[in-house]
Amino acid sequence: MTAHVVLRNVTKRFGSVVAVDNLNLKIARGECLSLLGPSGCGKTTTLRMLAGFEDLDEGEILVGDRVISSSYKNYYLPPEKRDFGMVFQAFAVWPHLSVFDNVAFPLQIRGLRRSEIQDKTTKALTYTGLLDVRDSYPNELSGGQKQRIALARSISFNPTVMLLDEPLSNLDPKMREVMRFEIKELQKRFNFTIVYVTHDQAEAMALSDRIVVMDFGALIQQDDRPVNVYLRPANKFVFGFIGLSNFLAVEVVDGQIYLQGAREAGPVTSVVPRHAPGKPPTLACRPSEIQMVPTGGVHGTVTRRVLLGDIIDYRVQVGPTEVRVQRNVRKPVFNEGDQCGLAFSALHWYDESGARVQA
Amino acid sequence: MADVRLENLAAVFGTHRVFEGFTLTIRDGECFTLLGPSGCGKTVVMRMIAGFEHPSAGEVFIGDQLVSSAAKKVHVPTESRNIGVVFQDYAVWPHKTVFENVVYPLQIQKVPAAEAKARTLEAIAQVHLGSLEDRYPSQLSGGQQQRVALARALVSRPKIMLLDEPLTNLDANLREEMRFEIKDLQRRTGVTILYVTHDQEVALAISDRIGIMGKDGCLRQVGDPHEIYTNPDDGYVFNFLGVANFIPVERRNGAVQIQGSYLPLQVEIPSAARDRIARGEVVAACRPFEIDLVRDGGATRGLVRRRVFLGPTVTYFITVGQIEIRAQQEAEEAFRDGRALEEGEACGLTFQALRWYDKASVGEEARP
Amino acid sequence: MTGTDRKFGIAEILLLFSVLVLVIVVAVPILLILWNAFVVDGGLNIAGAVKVLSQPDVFQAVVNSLVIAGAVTVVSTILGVFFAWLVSRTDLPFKETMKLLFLVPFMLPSFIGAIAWKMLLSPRAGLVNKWFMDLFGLEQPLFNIYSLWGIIAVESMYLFPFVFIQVSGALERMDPTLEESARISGAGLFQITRKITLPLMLPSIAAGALLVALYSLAHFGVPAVLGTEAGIFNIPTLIYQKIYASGGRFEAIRAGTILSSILVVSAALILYSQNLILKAGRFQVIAGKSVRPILLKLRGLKYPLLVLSLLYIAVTVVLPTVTIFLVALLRTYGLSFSLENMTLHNITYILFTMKLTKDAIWNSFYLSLAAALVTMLVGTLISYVIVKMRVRGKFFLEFLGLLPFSVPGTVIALGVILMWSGKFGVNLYNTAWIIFVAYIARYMAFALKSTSAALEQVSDSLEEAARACGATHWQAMKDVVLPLIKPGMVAAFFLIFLPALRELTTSVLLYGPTTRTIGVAIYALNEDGETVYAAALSAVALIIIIVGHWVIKRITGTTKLGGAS
Repeated sequence: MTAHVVLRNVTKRFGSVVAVDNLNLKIARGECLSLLGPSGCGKTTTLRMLAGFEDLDEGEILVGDRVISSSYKNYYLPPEKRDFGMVFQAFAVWPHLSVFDNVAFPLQIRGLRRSEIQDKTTKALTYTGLLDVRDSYPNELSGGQKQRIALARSISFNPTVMLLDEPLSNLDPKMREVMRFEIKELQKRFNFTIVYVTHDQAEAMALSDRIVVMDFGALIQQDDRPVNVYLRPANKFVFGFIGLSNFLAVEVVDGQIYLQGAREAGPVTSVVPRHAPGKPPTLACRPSEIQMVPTGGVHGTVTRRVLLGDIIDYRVQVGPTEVRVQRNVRKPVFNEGDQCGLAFSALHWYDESGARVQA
Repeated sequence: MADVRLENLAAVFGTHRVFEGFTLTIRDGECFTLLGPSGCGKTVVMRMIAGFEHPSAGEVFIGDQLVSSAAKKVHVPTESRNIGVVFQDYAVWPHKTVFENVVYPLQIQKVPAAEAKARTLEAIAQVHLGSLEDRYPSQLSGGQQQRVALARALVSRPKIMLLDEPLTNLDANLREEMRFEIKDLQRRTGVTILYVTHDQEVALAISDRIGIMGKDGCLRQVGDPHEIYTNPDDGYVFNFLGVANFIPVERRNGAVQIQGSYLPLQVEIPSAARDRIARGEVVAACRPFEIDLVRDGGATRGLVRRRVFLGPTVTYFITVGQIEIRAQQEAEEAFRDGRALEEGEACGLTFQALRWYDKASVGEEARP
Repeated sequence: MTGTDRKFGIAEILLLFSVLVLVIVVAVPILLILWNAFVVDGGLNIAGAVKVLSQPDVFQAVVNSLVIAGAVTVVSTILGVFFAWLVSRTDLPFKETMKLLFLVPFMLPSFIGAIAWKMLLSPRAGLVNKWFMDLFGLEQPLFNIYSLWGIIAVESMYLFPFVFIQVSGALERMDPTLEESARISGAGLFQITRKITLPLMLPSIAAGALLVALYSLAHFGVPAVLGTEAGIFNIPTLIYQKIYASGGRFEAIRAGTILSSILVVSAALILYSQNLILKAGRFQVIAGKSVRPILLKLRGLKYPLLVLSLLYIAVTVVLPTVTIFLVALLRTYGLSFSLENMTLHNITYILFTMKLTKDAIWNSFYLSLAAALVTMLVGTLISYVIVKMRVRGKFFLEFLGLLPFSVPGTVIALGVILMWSGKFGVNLYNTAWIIFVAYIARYMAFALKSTSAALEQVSDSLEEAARACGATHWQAMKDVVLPLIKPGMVAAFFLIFLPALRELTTSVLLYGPTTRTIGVAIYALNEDGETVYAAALSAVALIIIIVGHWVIKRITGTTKLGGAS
């Protein structure tokens, strides 16, 4: 892939804490890449280094073929010269300027002619649906509109790279859905590269071409398309971070896998993953990927049933283990105390270090 | 334990009419949720039961006792109603320790010190805060403070408990845990609970019965969660409880079709609905998961405009005629079985079930 | 909001009581002033008022007031913004120390500073002038402090912290992403400052500047010490002169009330403009999370600017304070500062022997204590009615409560004289009571602000929770509300006690032979030429104030008290 943005051996320390540990990343032109991870994992620090607000302790960052940050040469292109668009979590829209002046600001700073400024600003406002409020002030507008101002302001000068730092966290759920789509549309239209930072996995999955799941130190756990990250998580951390999960201890008897301490319940599967003797891997499966059948399967008793809307959430006790299962509401309902059988349709295996084990 | 009877309750403040003619009975020992959007008046109802507000009309009974009546000029003050209240912001007193917070109601009632201490420690243990009784609220997390509020509300063995959106300020994981604890507590103590919220997920999860309030303060439907969810009375309730598709239909050439499309709807249409369709009074409704998607064939044809992958499910926004319909597939089905549809692809939709609702009952925001 | 099931009438009674208190203490004195100024023999007499205003000395005093206030505001704003920017936005070393040092003028009474500057820069005897003239063999002094510019300079030194506090606070709390987004949009540091930071700071700058203008207009001490000698009067000092020179003649009182009306109107205008600016809600720039503002690297300028700041503090804070202490230790004024000329006698004399000063110290202490206590208690009650009770007409209470903010000490003193000098059957003139009443009027607004802020922090649900636990309204107040507002009440107490202890403006118009306050005593000693004793009492006062602030800091953890004298 012809990389557009490259991070090479990037390291950043704050005191004794290594916030970003030897990060290597390549982003293609026009790609929407999400940095996804828990709070404090280093994703925002990475974004700020890309923007030029932080220096690097080690490594370099390139855009195209141009080095914009380098610890070796002690060279850092200042943020105002990087020509990136950036959208912040708290919008960072200037309250003393009208919507129009907010969006026109980068163009005015660049010293364009008035007619050009007028032209480009109007275009940006049109694409973000803000044309009729161009003369209003930010405090008169809603959160979603403020975020659109921030977007319009960043695209008005046609950047090649857009940096978004948790831009939707301060919006209500309905608005978040709307804005996700609008960001995607803008990207299709302008074809800029997006680096998107978030801790919300649903958001990352809905928006990105590629997700980079990070743990503390910005250590990459998985770097892949959303579908693959969800259906084939590389390790236990990723599995647990994305979506709901069951982590079940198992025992192997006569070539069959049983849930630990529940041999009488019946086997889970006879496909046994490779493992060291006496140390079977952990079984991971999603509540939505377990079927409840009236006969057969692994026997258990329903201990809890909670209606969540279009999903019913069950807890099923199998011996000493509690398994969480989610079923669509239109499927037959089980009551608390009912017996049922569990059929596992998708099994994932992780060893004690959290690494994926092939079945 | 007691039941609560609200008869023809009205809340009219000057020219601002919140609700009128509100009648409801909360049964002894049940967990009842009043569910409605912000501003519908549900909190006012709760505050009238608590005694923080005077009803402009109507009467409130707790058990057999008339506690509020505008006409009869009766108003039993809050402190004499023997209730427990849990507030949205917890209202845990920052200058008292956990123990001092929870023992307060017993001190007011002049319960002997030894008994008060025993009951307080028991209540604290019941909410799983044992060993924290000497901490101050500022040293506790949001979830722990909420539990202190719960213990304090329960310690005096009240007849009824009123909870006002107690979980809104907690993060998602904690919310799930706490609603289970509340339900558990209720089962163990048998206290009657009125829970007030705008979050339908919580309501469906913990209630024995739900009452849905409209923005106008009207009680739209009362019933048990499963019943209300699977058989909503009107379009408003249907839309409130989950993602809804509202599909305008018309009669053309003797058949019923989706407005703007050319294929007849291949669904069983109850005869009562047929005339109303002809008169343009009703709209069809269904949930995204009540639609089957295929590439070829299908009862109706449409075009996939957008596809959003959400994890366990994949959502499709499909254009059919002039309207957009939301449908979904399980992720397994979509990717493992290869049945995922691409954006821009034509597809077929088959409706498993359709409901028919008055157009008028569907709110402005939901109308297609 | 609770209270709908109160015992019938209690809320109304409390409201009535509160209104009564505020009317008697605050409203009536002000109304009397306006009445006295514009109503003669039962009829509105504007022409007469204008005639008085056109008398040359009166007119000149008004002009002087405006000129001084204007110049002081400009100078303070420049100083305040510059130092705030230096401390909050650059990599100046020792920032925390610098911040504290810049706030010191806030704590010290400016008229004591004026006395110190008099000792340094009076044209003949001023120490700096003498040294300068001796050094260069000149006849002309370096600077004559008895001048308009002298007054302006000294006032600015003591008032600029108003602007400094507002602006540095706002700079530090400002959301850094507002500037970062400007940066990523292509703007360099100077462009950001010009187009983003400064416009967003405007409300804070304006708020500070208006406060400076308000105080300067109403200020007695500095113009009294430095201006009277040269015949330069502002409104408060002219009022004082007329009333004392005339011994209470009608025309003098009338001139006083007319001048006061001007003060009231200007003060009201200033507060109104400030309200307008603060209400311009566009400028919501405070960030919620912890912030990291971008710091400008001063590089080569770092140490020169540090030296400049230290020099400024040395000249404006250290120099006058040290002078006061040194003069206080001199046997006789005029002697050189050598060890054999130093003695502690002055200090012990004023503390233990001299009746004037002993009485003054005692008076100030018990008057301030009493006023602070009463004002705090009454203020708490009134705040409770305003914030927590659901009764009609409480907006009127709010209005009355905030009124004194806009009424300068001189005006309150005059109003109190008019009201309590026998008009309504009660004559408190020349007693301690009249000062006591004036203090309550003057500081009520402070108590209201502090206690209502504390009450607003106590959310209604905390009281309601107590009610739900079985507590009656009164039990809930006692067990929940009172403990939680105690810090606010304590803060209110100190917010009144320390300023009252050291003030001059109000008591100078109200004191009698036995009711001098510390401020009045210092002023009187200075007027009578007893310079060393004036210095000694000033030194003692400064020590009391500093100790007082330290004690308060230990108790409440804040240091932002001061400025009102």
